[in-house]
Amino acid sequence: MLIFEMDALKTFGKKLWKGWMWFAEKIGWINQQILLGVVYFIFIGIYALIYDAIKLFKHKPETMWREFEHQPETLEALEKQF
Amino acid sequence: MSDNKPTYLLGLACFYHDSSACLLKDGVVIAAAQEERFTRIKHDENFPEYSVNYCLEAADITLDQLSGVCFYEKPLWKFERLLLTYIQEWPRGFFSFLKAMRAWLNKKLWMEHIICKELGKVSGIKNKKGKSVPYSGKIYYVPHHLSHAASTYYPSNFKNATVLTVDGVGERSTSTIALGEEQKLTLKEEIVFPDSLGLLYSAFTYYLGFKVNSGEYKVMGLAPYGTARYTKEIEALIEIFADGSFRLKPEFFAYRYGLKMTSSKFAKHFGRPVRNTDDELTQWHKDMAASLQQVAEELMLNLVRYAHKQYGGKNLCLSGGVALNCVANGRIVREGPFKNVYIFPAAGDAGGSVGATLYVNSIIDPKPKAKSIETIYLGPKFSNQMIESFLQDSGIKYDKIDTAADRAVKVGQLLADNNVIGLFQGRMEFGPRALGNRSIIADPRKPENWKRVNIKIKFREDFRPFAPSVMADKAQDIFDLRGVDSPYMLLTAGTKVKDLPAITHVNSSARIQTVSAEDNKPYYDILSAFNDLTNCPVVINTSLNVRGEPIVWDHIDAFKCFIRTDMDILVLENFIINAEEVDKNFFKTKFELEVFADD
Repeated sequence: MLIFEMDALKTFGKKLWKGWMWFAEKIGWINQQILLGVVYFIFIGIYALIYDAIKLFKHKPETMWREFEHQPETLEALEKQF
Repeated sequence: MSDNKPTYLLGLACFYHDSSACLLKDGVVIAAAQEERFTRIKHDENFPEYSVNYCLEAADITLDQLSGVCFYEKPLWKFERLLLTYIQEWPRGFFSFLKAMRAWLNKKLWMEHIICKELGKVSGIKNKKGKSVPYSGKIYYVPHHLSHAASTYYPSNFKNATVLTVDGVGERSTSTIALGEEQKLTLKEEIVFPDSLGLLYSAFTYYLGFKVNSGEYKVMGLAPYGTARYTKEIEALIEIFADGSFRLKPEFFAYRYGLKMTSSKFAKHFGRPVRNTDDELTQWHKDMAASLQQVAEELMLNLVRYAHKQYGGKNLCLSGGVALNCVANGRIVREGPFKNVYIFPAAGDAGGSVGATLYVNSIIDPKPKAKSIETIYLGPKFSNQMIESFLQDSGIKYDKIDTAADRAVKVGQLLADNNVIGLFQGRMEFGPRALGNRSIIADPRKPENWKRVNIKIKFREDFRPFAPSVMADKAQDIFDLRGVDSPYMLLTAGTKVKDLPAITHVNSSARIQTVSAEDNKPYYDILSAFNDLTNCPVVINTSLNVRGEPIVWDHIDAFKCFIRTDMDILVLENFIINAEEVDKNFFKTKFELEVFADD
């Protein structure tokens, strides 16, 4: 009888855990959208305004070719992701 | 590291499209494969675990024997470009930002961790808790366009060359010019995102109703059916500078900030909406493809002329996805200022794994450049013994041919008898083209073979042309190649003869593979045997697969492809299987294969 009750409890616990994980995932998704929205509209937005202001002073280019900078030429430089 | 131990470098290209892996031993590429072949997912972008596994098995080594792993781009440069683009496009890039950031936060920002973990899974070494032990060796990150440049310069065998790479976008470059001098390769100039010839082509691919990053070659194949009457309208989308560089006018393109390639202004400019995939292809679409192709060719020629003007030299190496445009390549060879042109056969992103390892190797070992690729047949091969076991175990009737010479004569005779043949032999090709080892071949003199192979065997659009394989020593008599070889099917040229309808496009051109005995003797011998019987040194060559699937990699996939289609003969190394002796329906059920509507 005790074993039967333990099994039932375990099954219930598993279902509860699964349900919570489903719910947590949805909440996590909503959280992520909100946080990314804040980052986008505030942080990216501030830089965007500065960028737009700088752009006003930019000259029209005469070529789209530009010098390639920062070619990694050592193994140490190649180990970096940037 | 001791001197007599070989240096092994593993190359990886993944997480965008066309994942691949390659293995370099003492500066020579000894194995390379695309992941899609193993997983059967076309353009598979996932970590190339099967390809890595194959590469390690081919060299009979384990992960701990690697001197390093080379990745084909610098992830954080790419992330920086993304952020900068969102700043420039604020606030209309919000939804694209959400989508991109999810991918970056969940995966791409943790690249080192993911690569180590995935390689650990491949190694199969477990800790006490039964979990895979991650790879702990060095990882080198090579800029994307440097990987492209290295993938074409080092295999070219030129002592020095100007290298032009053109694709959609790497980290931020979309086109680059590099200089190769002996073992040293230096990127000199770049055009950066969003001004991209690759993305211009992709935008029209999207507009014409094909899939971006895979349908571009369909647009190229469609172009000869149209007339280039809209070049002015297309040029109105681009600002072309005196030196040949260009800027795409941002109001027409949405890929910087949206989830689509083109803006509503783009459709308004041409007066038609984006074509749905299932809509009919009208003459207007064909004319648009022809116009785009012409504009793209001119832009490519401009870049080549600029590279020559700035850096001179007589050798040009090309790479990047746009270098798979064989019509543009043909014009570069014929009209461009360089005497010699080399194009790496896996010019797209898959080739990045090879380029990354070759560049790292050039720094580890800066001695004068040696031959870094001996063959492009770098994939797995299967022995006659393995194939015979499979045929016997499956109860498949076959004829066994004892010698390679007899096999060539037999296959030549079957071709002359107008059979469509699936040819599976030797090591798998690296790159997007089947070059005789995973191919469907047929007699090009029969006009009905074009439609038959397209519709009953490949199940694909009937407008799509076939490429010819031709004996290299007879190629100049048949095609207007002007003394140049095209061993990787990367050049188009005019046909000089009129009796090859199945491989001649409507504009009298063909995408040619010249086959020499040095490159692929078994295939050359088949062409030679067919020529002895028919006085025709050319065959139709298309990849051994059906529409929507990658090229087959093993004999079992080859047999599955055979029984799903209307092919007459399948050649698996020394074994010949005749469709008349095989109950295809029985085997379809046995292998639980999807039955095509045409069956």
